[in-house]
Amino acid sequence: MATTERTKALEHVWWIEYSSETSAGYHQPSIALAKVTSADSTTSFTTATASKSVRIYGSVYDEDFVESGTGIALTEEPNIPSQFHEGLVHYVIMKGYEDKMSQDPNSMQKAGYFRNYWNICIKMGTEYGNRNFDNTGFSIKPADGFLM
Amino acid sequence: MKQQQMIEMIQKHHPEMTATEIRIYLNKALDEFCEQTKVLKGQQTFTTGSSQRYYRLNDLDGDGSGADQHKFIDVDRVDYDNYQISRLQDPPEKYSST
Repeated sequence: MATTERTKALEHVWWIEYSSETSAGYHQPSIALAKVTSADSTTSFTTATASKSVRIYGSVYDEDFVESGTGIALTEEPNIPSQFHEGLVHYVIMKGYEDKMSQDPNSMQKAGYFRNYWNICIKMGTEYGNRNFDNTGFSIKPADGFLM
Repeated sequence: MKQQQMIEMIQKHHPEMTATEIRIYLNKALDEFCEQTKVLKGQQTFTTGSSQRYYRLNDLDGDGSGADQHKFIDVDRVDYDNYQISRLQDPPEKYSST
Protein backbone atom coordinates (compact mmCIF):
# COMPACT_ATOMS: atom_id res chain seq x y z
CA MET A 1 0.00 0.00 0.00
CA ALA A 2 2.70 2.42 1.03
CA THR A 3 4.73 1.55 -2.06
CA THR A 4 1.78 2.32 -4.30
CA GLU A 5 1.24 5.66 -2.60
CA ARG A 6 4.90 6.48 -3.03
CA THR A 7 4.97 5.40 -6.67
CA LYS A 8 1.90 7.49 -7.46
CA ALA A 9 3.28 10.55 -5.68
CA LEU A 10 6.64 10.32 -7.41
CA GLU A 11 4.97 10.38 -10.82
CA HIS A 12 4.36 14.07 -10.21
CA VAL A 13 6.63 16.98 -11.06
CA TRP A 14 6.64 20.71 -10.33
CA TRP A 15 8.01 23.81 -11.99
CA ILE A 16 7.69 27.58 -11.78
CA GLU A 17 6.18 29.68 -14.56
CA TYR A 18 5.49 33.36 -15.05
CA SER A 19 3.38 33.08 -18.15
CA SER A 20 0.78 30.60 -16.97
CA GLU A 21 -2.12 33.00 -16.94
CA THR A 22 -4.23 33.29 -20.04
CA SER A 23 -5.80 36.61 -19.04
CA ALA A 24 -4.17 39.92 -19.93
CA GLY A 25 -2.28 41.78 -17.26
CA TYR A 26 0.79 41.36 -15.16
CA HIS A 27 1.99 37.85 -14.61
CA GLN A 28 2.83 36.59 -11.17
CA PRO A 29 4.90 33.50 -10.52
CA SER A 30 2.87 30.30 -10.34
CA ILE A 31 3.81 26.83 -9.31
CA ALA A 32 2.71 24.16 -11.76
CA LEU A 33 2.03 20.54 -10.84
CA ALA A 34 1.53 17.72 -13.28
CA LYS A 35 1.54 13.99 -13.46
CA VAL A 36 4.07 12.81 -15.99
CA THR A 37 4.08 9.55 -17.93
CA SER A 38 6.66 8.47 -20.44
CA ALA A 39 6.44 5.81 -23.11
CA ASP A 40 9.15 5.35 -25.71
CA SER A 41 9.68 8.78 -27.29
CA THR A 42 6.59 10.53 -25.90
CA THR A 43 6.03 12.19 -22.58
CA SER A 44 2.62 13.36 -21.48
CA PHE A 45 1.69 15.74 -18.71
CA THR A 46 -1.73 15.36 -17.19
CA THR A 47 -3.52 16.97 -14.25
CA ALA A 48 -2.15 16.16 -10.83
CA THR A 49 -4.52 14.04 -8.79
CA ALA A 50 -6.98 16.30 -6.97
CA SER A 51 -7.50 16.66 -3.20
CA LYS A 52 -3.90 15.82 -2.35
CA SER A 53 -1.80 17.79 0.07
CA VAL A 54 1.10 19.80 -1.38
CA ARG A 55 3.74 21.37 0.82
CA ILE A 56 6.08 24.02 -0.55
CA TYR A 57 9.38 24.90 1.14
CA GLY A 58 11.45 27.95 0.34
CA SER A 59 12.87 31.33 1.25
CA VAL A 60 10.20 33.74 2.36
CA TYR A 61 9.76 37.42 3.14
CA ASP A 62 9.05 38.48 6.69
CA GLU A 63 5.71 40.00 7.64
CA ASP A 64 5.26 43.76 7.24
CA PHE A 65 5.62 46.27 10.05
CA VAL A 66 2.14 47.66 10.76
CA GLU A 67 0.62 50.18 13.09
CA SER A 68 -2.24 47.77 13.80
CA GLY A 69 -3.75 44.68 12.21
CA THR A 70 -1.99 41.69 10.64
CA GLY A 71 1.79 41.95 10.66
CA ILE A 72 4.52 43.04 13.05
CA ALA A 73 2.75 45.27 15.56
CA LEU A 74 4.39 48.04 17.60
CA THR A 75 5.10 45.68 20.50
CA GLU A 76 6.34 42.82 18.31
CA GLU A 77 9.70 41.92 16.78
CA PRO A 78 10.44 40.86 13.20
CA ASN A 79 11.04 37.15 12.62
CA ILE A 80 14.59 37.56 11.30
CA PRO A 81 17.28 36.67 13.88
CA SER A 82 17.66 39.34 16.56
CA GLN A 83 21.28 40.19 15.71
CA PHE A 84 20.06 41.76 12.46
CA HIS A 85 17.33 43.96 13.94
CA GLU A 86 19.70 46.87 14.45
CA GLY A 87 20.66 46.66 10.77
CA LEU A 88 17.10 47.62 9.83
CA VAL A 89 17.41 50.69 12.06
CA HIS A 90 20.70 51.63 10.37
CA TYR A 91 19.04 51.40 6.96
CA VAL A 92 16.30 53.86 7.94
CA ILE A 93 18.79 56.26 9.58
CA MET A 94 20.80 56.14 6.33
CA LYS A 95 17.69 56.91 4.29
CA GLY A 96 16.89 59.81 6.62
CA TYR A 97 20.31 61.35 6.03
CA GLU A 98 20.06 60.76 2.28
CA ASP A 99 16.81 62.72 2.25
CA LYS A 100 18.57 65.65 3.97
CA MET A 101 21.50 65.86 1.58
CA SER A 102 20.21 68.95 -0.20
CA GLN A 103 19.93 70.84 3.10
CA ASP A 104 22.99 69.60 4.97
CA PRO A 105 26.25 68.81 3.17
CA ASN A 106 27.43 66.66 6.10
CA SER A 107 24.49 64.33 5.60
CA MET A 108 26.27 62.55 2.77
CA GLN A 109 29.06 61.48 5.10
CA LYS A 110 26.61 60.40 7.79
CA ALA A 111 24.57 58.43 5.24
CA GLY A 112 27.77 56.69 4.12
CA TYR A 113 28.59 55.78 7.71
CA PHE A 114 25.22 54.05 8.21
CA ARG A 115 25.29 52.51 4.71
CA ASN A 116 28.50 50.79 5.76
CA TYR A 117 26.74 49.28 8.80
CA TRP A 118 23.83 48.20 6.60
CA ASN A 119 26.19 46.51 4.11
CA ILE A 120 27.92 44.66 6.96
CA CYS A 121 24.50 43.51 8.19
CA ILE A 122 23.63 42.14 4.73
CA LYS A 123 26.99 40.38 4.51
CA MET A 124 26.58 38.78 7.93
CA GLY A 125 22.98 37.86 7.09
CA THR A 126 24.08 36.18 3.86
CA GLU A 127 26.66 34.14 5.78
CA TYR A 128 24.01 33.22 8.34
CA GLY A 129 21.53 32.27 5.57
CA ASN A 130 24.10 29.98 3.95
CA ARG A 131 24.81 28.08 7.16
CA ASN A 132 23.46 24.58 7.12
CA PHE A 133 23.56 24.14 10.90
CA ASP A 134 25.62 21.01 10.47
CA ASN A 135 29.04 21.15 12.05
CA THR A 136 30.07 17.58 11.38
CA GLY A 137 33.21 17.26 9.34
CA PHE A 138 34.09 14.94 6.51
CA SER A 139 37.30 13.21 5.58
CA ILE A 140 38.83 12.34 2.26
CA LYS A 141 40.31 8.88 2.16
CA PRO A 142 43.80 9.03 0.61
CA ALA A 143 44.20 7.10 -2.61
CA ASP A 144 47.40 6.43 -4.49
CA GLY A 145 47.57 6.07 -8.24
CA PHE A 146 43.88 5.50 -8.94
CA LEU A 147 43.23 8.98 -10.34
CA MET A 148 45.75 8.73 -13.19
CA MET B 1 14.04 44.70 19.09
CA LYS B 2 10.39 45.68 19.01
CA GLN B 3 9.00 47.96 16.30
CA GLN B 4 8.36 50.75 18.82
CA GLN B 5 11.99 50.59 20.01
CA MET B 6 13.22 50.79 16.42
CA ILE B 7 11.10 53.86 15.77
CA GLU B 8 12.43 55.55 18.91
CA MET B 9 16.06 54.81 17.96
CA ILE B 10 15.52 56.25 14.49
CA GLN B 11 13.78 59.35 15.82
CA LYS B 12 16.85 60.14 17.95
CA HIS B 13 18.65 60.80 14.65
CA HIS B 14 15.65 62.07 12.70
CA PRO B 15 13.04 63.57 15.06
CA GLU B 16 11.14 65.01 12.08
CA MET B 17 10.41 61.56 10.61
CA THR B 18 6.91 60.27 11.30
CA ALA B 19 6.20 56.69 12.39
CA THR B 20 4.43 56.05 9.07
CA GLU B 21 7.46 57.21 7.10
CA ILE B 22 9.75 55.09 9.27
CA ARG B 23 7.54 52.03 8.77
CA ILE B 24 7.75 52.44 4.97
CA TYR B 25 11.55 52.39 5.15
CA LEU B 26 11.61 49.58 7.75
CA ASN B 27 9.48 47.40 5.48
CA LYS B 28 11.75 48.19 2.54
CA ALA B 29 14.79 47.27 4.64
CA LEU B 30 13.19 44.05 5.83
CA ASP B 31 12.21 42.97 2.29
CA GLU B 32 15.66 43.80 0.96
CA PHE B 33 17.32 41.93 3.82
CA CYS B 34 15.19 38.81 3.30
CA GLU B 35 15.71 38.88 -0.48
CA GLN B 36 19.46 39.22 -0.31
CA THR B 37 20.21 36.93 2.61
CA LYS B 38 17.41 34.35 2.24
CA VAL B 39 17.68 33.97 5.96
CA LEU B 40 14.01 33.16 6.53
CA LYS B 41 12.72 29.80 5.41
CA GLY B 42 9.08 28.86 5.43
CA GLN B 43 6.60 26.29 4.23
CA GLN B 44 3.04 26.45 3.03
CA THR B 45 0.52 23.71 2.49
CA PHE B 46 -2.39 23.66 0.08
CA THR B 47 -4.65 21.06 -1.53
CA THR B 48 -4.69 20.29 -5.23
CA GLY B 49 -7.84 21.23 -7.13
CA SER B 50 -9.52 19.31 -9.91
CA SER B 51 -8.35 20.13 -13.44
CA GLN B 52 -5.93 22.72 -12.13
CA ARG B 53 -2.28 22.88 -13.12
CA TYR B 54 -1.21 26.32 -11.91
CA TYR B 55 -1.32 27.77 -8.40
CA ARG B 56 -0.22 31.34 -7.77
CA LEU B 57 2.84 31.19 -5.59
CA ASN B 58 1.65 33.99 -3.34
CA ASP B 59 -1.99 32.90 -3.23
CA LEU B 60 -1.78 29.13 -3.17
CA ASP B 61 -5.24 28.55 -1.77
CA GLY B 62 -6.71 30.79 -4.50
CA ASP B 63 -8.83 32.89 -2.15
CA GLY B 64 -7.60 36.13 -3.73
CA SER B 65 -5.61 37.17 -0.69
CA GLY B 66 -1.90 36.65 -0.10
CA ALA B 67 -2.14 37.90 3.48
CA ASP B 68 -2.96 34.44 4.85
CA GLN B 69 0.28 32.79 3.78
CA HIS B 70 4.04 33.28 3.45
CA LYS B 71 5.29 35.46 0.61
CA PHE B 72 7.83 33.27 -1.23
CA ILE B 73 11.12 34.52 -2.63
CA ASP B 74 12.00 31.16 -4.13
CA VAL B 75 11.07 27.49 -3.84
CA ASP B 76 13.56 24.84 -2.63
CA ARG B 77 11.41 21.78 -2.44
CA VAL B 78 7.87 20.52 -3.07
CA ASP B 79 6.18 17.59 -1.36
CA TYR B 80 3.16 15.98 -2.97
CA ASP B 81 1.11 13.69 -0.75
CA ASN B 82 4.04 13.80 1.72
CA TYR B 83 6.65 12.64 -0.82
CA GLN B 84 9.32 14.95 -2.18
CA ILE B 85 8.83 15.30 -5.94
CA SER B 86 11.20 16.37 -8.70
CA ARG B 87 11.41 19.76 -10.35
CA LEU B 88 10.91 19.70 -14.10
CA GLN B 89 13.83 21.53 -15.70
CA ASP B 90 11.89 22.79 -18.74
CA PRO B 91 8.13 23.35 -18.81
CA PRO B 92 6.17 21.13 -21.24
CA GLU B 93 6.22 22.37 -24.83
CA LYS B 94 2.44 22.46 -25.09
CA TYR B 95 0.52 24.81 -22.80
CA SER B 96 -2.34 23.43 -20.80
CA SER B 97 -4.15 24.95 -17.85
CA THR B 98 -5.13 21.53 -16.55
